[in-house]
Amino acid sequence: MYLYSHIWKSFIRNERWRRNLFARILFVLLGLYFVILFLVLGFNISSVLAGESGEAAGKFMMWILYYLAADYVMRCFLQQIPSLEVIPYLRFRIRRKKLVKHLLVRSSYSLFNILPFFIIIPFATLVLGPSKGVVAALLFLAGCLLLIILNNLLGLLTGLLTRINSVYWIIPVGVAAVIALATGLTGSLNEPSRALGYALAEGRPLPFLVAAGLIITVIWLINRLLDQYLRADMAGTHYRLRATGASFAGRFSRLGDTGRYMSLELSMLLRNKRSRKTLLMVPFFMVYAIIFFLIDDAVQGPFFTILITTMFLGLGSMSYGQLLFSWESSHFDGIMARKNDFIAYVKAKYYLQVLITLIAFVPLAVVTIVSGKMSLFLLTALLLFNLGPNSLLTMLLATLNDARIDLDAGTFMNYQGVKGSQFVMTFLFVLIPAGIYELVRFLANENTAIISLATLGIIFIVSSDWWIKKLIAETFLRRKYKSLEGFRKLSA
Amino acid sequence: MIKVTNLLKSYHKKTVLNISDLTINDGEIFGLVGNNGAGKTTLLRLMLDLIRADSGEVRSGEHIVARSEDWKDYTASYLDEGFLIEYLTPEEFFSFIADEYRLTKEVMDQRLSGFSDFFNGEVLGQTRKYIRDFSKGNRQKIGVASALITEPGILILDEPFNSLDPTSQILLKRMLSDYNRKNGAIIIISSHDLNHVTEICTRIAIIEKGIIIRDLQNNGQAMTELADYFSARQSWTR
Repeated sequence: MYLYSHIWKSFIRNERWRRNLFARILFVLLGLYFVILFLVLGFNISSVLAGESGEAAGKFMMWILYYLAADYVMRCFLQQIPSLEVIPYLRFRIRRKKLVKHLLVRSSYSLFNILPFFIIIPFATLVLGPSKGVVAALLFLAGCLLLIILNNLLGLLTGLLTRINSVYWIIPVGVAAVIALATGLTGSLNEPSRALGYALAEGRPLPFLVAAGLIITVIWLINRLLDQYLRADMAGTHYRLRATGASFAGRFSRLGDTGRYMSLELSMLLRNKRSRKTLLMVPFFMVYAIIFFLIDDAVQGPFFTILITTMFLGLGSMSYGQLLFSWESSHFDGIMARKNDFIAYVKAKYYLQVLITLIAFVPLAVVTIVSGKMSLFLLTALLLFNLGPNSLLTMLLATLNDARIDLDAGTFMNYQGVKGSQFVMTFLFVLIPAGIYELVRFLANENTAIISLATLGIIFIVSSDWWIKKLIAETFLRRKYKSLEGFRKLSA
Repeated sequence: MIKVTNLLKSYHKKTVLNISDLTINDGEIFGLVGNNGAGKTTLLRLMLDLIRADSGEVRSGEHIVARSEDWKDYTASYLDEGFLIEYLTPEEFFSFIADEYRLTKEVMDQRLSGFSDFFNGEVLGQTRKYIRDFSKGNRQKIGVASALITEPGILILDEPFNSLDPTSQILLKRMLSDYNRKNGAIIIISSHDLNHVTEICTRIAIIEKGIIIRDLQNNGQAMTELADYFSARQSWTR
């Protein structure tokens, strides 16, 4: 069907994709990474379980409900809903039914649907087959397939509902709450989960029938929903973040022109989908940081700790900073054609990076104090280094970025605007403070290493005006026309 | 005064603009007409220093636009939606522009009140609606107004009548003529609509394949001449 060929073309003819070999490699590598990760996980679990005696299979099965719930919630937040893709086809002579069917099939092309099988198949062949027989293994696989199809459809349904009205976000949040509550009340969901797994393997009809019935119901619901709502305006107001009435104007008025641009920048960050999702990465990584510092005991020396901490500290500001001017790409012509104070404009962007880093610093400081894995002294030195050289370097590198970004798009696996070379360079910055620390510590001692990092940071912070004016603004203005041309390219 | 000298721009070895000499004098309303791809927007972008010329220059008063930014003090423009900041409310956007041009809130409010008929009660006072959520026509109004409130000496508009309803088109024509008469400003507009152009422009240039092939004073004959030119062109292409 030509719908599929169009999707393939839109993917392969994407300007940036064609131009950027690195993006292609990165994309393939990321895909491979996940596949290998799940395969290794699958084989490890299975080979360990296969070596055990007794109810080895049950130890695997007790996770089924947890996995399904986590998978569902993740899908709600991360899975792309392909409904926008079909909107241009509404005006053609294609039956609505056909478009809906296309949507259903299209939604199955997702890593979420493939990855679990890299764990389930090794389990079925290595553990379940030898102990319970081939039939049980096949039945279990079939059952899992049904459950994943169901989850996929539920994810699609929730995605569509939230697009129609954001009230429906209560569903995934509710599911997470119910699972947490049920775990709290009964101790765990291991028992029902295990029961479900065995019922599937034993080929009891009830779970199969329920799953199939639910699948049919959800498909029917999706059909009804799309019949009503699959209209061109689904891409319009419903899809976008609504105005809240909150204004940021004058928020930083004490800083003069720079403050004015900061308010503008803050409006951009908080009122657009793409930027909001980028900012949401910060709390997400904070949770990871807490796990890293408080739970994980396998810390491999100061170099690694500094590396990870620098990343936690700088992740938000780097994600923002590496798209420096691209954030405004859709209206940069207007900015440049009008009277402006360009230096103040760039400075505003620097101050916002500082602000984001400081916000990340507070929970990290608490966590480091509580865990005792790093001294506050070192963390502060790292903060200074991040605010100084790292932030300025990120900005300098970003002046070379002339990719347009779509503020309305989601951000998971969305590397629009992020050039491969930049991606690598930005992550290399994380290595610099750890490298300096190790070098000075090797030559002198630990305290000197910390002081060196802090001093370097302070020098760059104090001279930041100079760097912004002489290096960042000038570098950008020198290649202004090239950037403006890039920003105008819709497909890039 | 705007003076274009030996201006050349090409993309992929194809010349898209080649203007050896063009002077737009103070007080003129200069209309640029031409078919799709003729080079109208390219010329306007070059006048605003948004693209780099291969050779030649655009002078705005004393300033070469590619070398100085001082001309921005007295120049305002609206070419396309890339000139709007879509995630702001109209009021926030106008305040932003007013701050850029150092206008006080009182001055801005007073100037905005002059647009009340043009806005037709649909633009101002909507604190819960970002520019991106307005209709195309209202976005166009916001863009044009954002250029006019700075009261520029040079006003550059690309297809300003696009997406506007008939009443707003008439209002805009009146506003532009009045503004030009009162302030003696240069107004440069491009348009596909020969009626609009002949109605308000004092001078009209036809651009084709990047070259200005006619430069007419609008003395009452222009409409006939333009209509003849474009219909003759149609019969060639048949």
